[in-house]
Amino acid sequence: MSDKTDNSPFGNPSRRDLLRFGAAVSALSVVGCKLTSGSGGTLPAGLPRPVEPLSELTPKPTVCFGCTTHCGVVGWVKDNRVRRISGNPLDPNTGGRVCSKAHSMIAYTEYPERLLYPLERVGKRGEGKWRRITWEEANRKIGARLRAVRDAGTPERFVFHYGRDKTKGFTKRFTDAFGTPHRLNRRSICSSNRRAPLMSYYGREFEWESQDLANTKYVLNFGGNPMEAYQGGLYMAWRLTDARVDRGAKLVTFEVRPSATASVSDEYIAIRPGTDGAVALAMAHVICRDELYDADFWNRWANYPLEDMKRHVEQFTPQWAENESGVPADTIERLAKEFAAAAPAATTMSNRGSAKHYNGAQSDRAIRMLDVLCGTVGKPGGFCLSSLRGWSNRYGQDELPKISAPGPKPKGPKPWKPGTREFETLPKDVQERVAAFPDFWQNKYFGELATPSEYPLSWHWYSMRVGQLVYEYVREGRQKVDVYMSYTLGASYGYPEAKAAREVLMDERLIPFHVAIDIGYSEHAALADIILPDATSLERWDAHGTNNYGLRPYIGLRQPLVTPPGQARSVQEILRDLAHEVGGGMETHFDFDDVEEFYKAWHQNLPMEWEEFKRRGIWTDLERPLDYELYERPVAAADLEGSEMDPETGLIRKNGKVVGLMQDGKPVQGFPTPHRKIGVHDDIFPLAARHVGIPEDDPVASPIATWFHVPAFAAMDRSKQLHFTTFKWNVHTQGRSGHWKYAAEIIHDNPLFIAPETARAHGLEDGAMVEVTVSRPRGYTFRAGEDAPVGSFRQRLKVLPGMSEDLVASSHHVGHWEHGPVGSGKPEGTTAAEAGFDRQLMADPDIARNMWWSKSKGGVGSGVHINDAMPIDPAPLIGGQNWFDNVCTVRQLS
Amino acid sequence: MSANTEKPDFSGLRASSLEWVAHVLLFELDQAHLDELLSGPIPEMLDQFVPGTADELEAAARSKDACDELAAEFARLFLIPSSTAVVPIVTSWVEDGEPIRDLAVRWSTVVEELGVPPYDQQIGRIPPTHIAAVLRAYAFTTGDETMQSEIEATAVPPIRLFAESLRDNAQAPFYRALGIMLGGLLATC
Repeated sequence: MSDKTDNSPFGNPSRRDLLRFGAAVSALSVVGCKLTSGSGGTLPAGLPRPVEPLSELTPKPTVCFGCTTHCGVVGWVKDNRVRRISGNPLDPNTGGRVCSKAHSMIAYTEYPERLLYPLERVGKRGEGKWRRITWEEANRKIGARLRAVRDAGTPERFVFHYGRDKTKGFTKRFTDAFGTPHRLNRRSICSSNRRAPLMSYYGREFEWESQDLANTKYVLNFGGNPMEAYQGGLYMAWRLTDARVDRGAKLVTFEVRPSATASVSDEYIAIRPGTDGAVALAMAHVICRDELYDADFWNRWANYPLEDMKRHVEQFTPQWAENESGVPADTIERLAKEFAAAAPAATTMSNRGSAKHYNGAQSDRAIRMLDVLCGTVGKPGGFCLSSLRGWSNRYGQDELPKISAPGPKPKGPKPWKPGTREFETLPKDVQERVAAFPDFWQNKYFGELATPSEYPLSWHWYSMRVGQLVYEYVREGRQKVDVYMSYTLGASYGYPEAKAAREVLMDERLIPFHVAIDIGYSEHAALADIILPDATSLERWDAHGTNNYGLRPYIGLRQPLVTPPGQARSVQEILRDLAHEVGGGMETHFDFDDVEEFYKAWHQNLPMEWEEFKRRGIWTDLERPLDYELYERPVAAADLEGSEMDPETGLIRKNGKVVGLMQDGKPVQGFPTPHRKIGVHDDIFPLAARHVGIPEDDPVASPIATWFHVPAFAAMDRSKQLHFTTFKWNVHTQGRSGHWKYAAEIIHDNPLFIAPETARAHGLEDGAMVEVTVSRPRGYTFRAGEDAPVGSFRQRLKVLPGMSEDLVASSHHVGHWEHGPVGSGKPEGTTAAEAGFDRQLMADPDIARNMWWSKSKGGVGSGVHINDAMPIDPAPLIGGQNWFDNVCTVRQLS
Repeated sequence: MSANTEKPDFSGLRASSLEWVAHVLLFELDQAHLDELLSGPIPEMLDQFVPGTADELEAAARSKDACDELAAEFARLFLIPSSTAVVPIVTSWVEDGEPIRDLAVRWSTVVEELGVPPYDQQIGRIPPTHIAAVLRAYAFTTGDETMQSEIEATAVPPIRLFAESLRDNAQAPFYRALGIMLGGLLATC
């Protein structure tokens, strides 16, 4: 018998030799291990980092995606690796500045534990057992599932749910082509409470403002934190700094805690949570009482008589506001007068601090009213508006090149009106509610996940949705799901009552098939059936357009600087290939091989060669006038031709569509509202309330800005209970950055901050371990008033002067249990001390060397997950999550 | 029967062994590979390191579930981030200019010049410091003393630690045996 081994991967040694070799290897292995643990394993370390000459690197512009601000940056590339990030000086929003999150993109892209290959679970869902599969296999399996959904004639049972989607509609192209309205988002988690009031005032086109901070003299900031965390924060921060330092502008901040913005403000006023609107209304009272308003502006542009508004705000005296907010009446008086005196080069600013409350929409409407009263809207240094969506000849974008995705574009699903098949799938009570809606709302209704009928203002201006209710609605059976596809979504970690998302995702009767597209192994991806590895922003194409605080429209380009590792692919490639796999005509909307060609066609009307656009990364028309007083611009001649004017209202219509407003005999564009004026009075609020069973005399239904107590706060027992609020740090971006090692090194914990006076009053000690138990909210919201608490967590208390009274606050970025060692804070098993390397984390010796905050190294660890204890709490009518309405008890444990 | 005192020359075997280890750090054991392995003496050899390896491989060849278990172990160890993963990369986040990064680029170049087929077509881009890439470079530069000594000085120590970690963290006998085998192969470096 021959002992030759014909099938050995080692070649063809004799069988005897191979076994002898094995024995030798076995023996050496023992020796080797001993040697290693005794002495080996130290790489050359501690060398000073040489500064690589830029001349050796290739610069390439792109757009950062470290947060939602999206700054133009330049990546400096060598050997298919981004070595540095700097700002793109051509970006008119940033002027070439970047923040720490942009720099973190390098580490994020090079994160050694990124998802590299498609994975399919082989154990139970959530068990963490996966096998790698090919893209072909993944596409085949997902495609078969999707085809089955479509062939059954129930395309709505495919639900696409994204966390961050800046593809400018590419994912919508996919869901539209498939025929499902279920392209769900997280807008309600973020900003719908502050967008709705803006759109109510200024129209759909202006869901975000662009204060002229570069030229302002005065900023009244209600809970905005642009120095730290704000969509557009970097754009605002440097302008605000320049205005203050170079031109003596004044920044006044109302906040519940000493944020970074509060800390650099000329005045920081610690305000009680949920009372910003009361202060704003009291300021309006002062401005009206003392006739400090700009009557000409109000009379020309507000849709409500000034005298009526004056009567309305009479009730909101500074003393009343002091009682509610804790802000001294004389301070309110003084600030109101200062603001009015600085107008029109003065502006309000507000964000989550004012808006993420039960009364947040009305509070923001009150804040916005100050700008209208003082005539700062659209004025140099004032509350300006700059068009922000893609350039398709929208309002305020006259004479700009038409920039839009190449066709053919899918038409998308039709509304679920009474009588349609989809309508019949709805629960009876929902059918009754929807059937009672007026036509204009029925024409926008697409089922309970996309357009929840109990929150009609979440989909009135456009479909902002109520993401935090999706899982509960699926659990209730409001929508059957056959295929659920999540895209960079962190709901299982970051949504309020995140455990609800996890429970639903773990129930295969509710979610039979879950595909997760993600960059890293998130808590959400861990509950998938198939994971598809996504590219980072440094590895993909995107069209970029946003509002410009420099008030001149511009457009940017995200382009790949390096190729993704492993087999990670951009979401565009993923969806394109899936569209082709599903077929049935869907593929015709994704008829491109090269993603670059698709984006080149997208920008074909840009008056700049494609290669030059790629080289610069930004296009803008520097000759174009700034976006001041857009509403005074004349109606375009083409729109005037064949138009008609309503003599009663002055509205100019063409083919039934309002195109402008006659003002003093001149046809001007006005605002993109139904009446072309500023909607300080908006009947949509009482109308929406009526259709969801909220009495029209309830203040949430008020057509004019008003203020009322947050129900949960009104019911607080202040001797035992505290407000509980969350916040963001400047280096983090929600729950997306807990595993970015440089960001985590700076902020890795979330202690519970409390004012010294409050701590004393409640017998709590600095540094003590406490247990926080959060109650259910009250009012017209989800599971309101239930006795059982939502949940609890334990964390250390940190006394911080400057906090508002009766309040505890903790950030919500950390406390992951997935996302690898940095995210979970568990670099256990390290032997760095003996070898300079982490035995289990060979890929990043930096973690072993420097993750000093991990508990295994005696540090505080990587924070506590608090989101399971945060109640699902959609604001009435709009559905924005009331993140800051929590009421809790705090019990000291040590 | 007298004992065999002849000292065998293992250099060729060692090189091919390193290349095989590189392969199984990049690819799961599929049916074809299992069939190939089982028709040779490797299972028996690995069984010397960790008893039960041969049975595990036999089972994987017969049963899809058992094969999936091995694939899941591969994913758990090498693809999914966790505190018990064994990331098969020498280093990723060393500072620019540290010798290992430049050397890694050089290893890649050398391997390319030697005409070794790249992995890219099968598994996409892997970093030049992926342990499989280093092992390949080491295997293919046998005889090039300068290159070998550079790799030994910079990459072998952390790969030894990787081997220990694999031995300690793997649950499947096959991957534990692989860790032991790799440690032994490197002990001669």
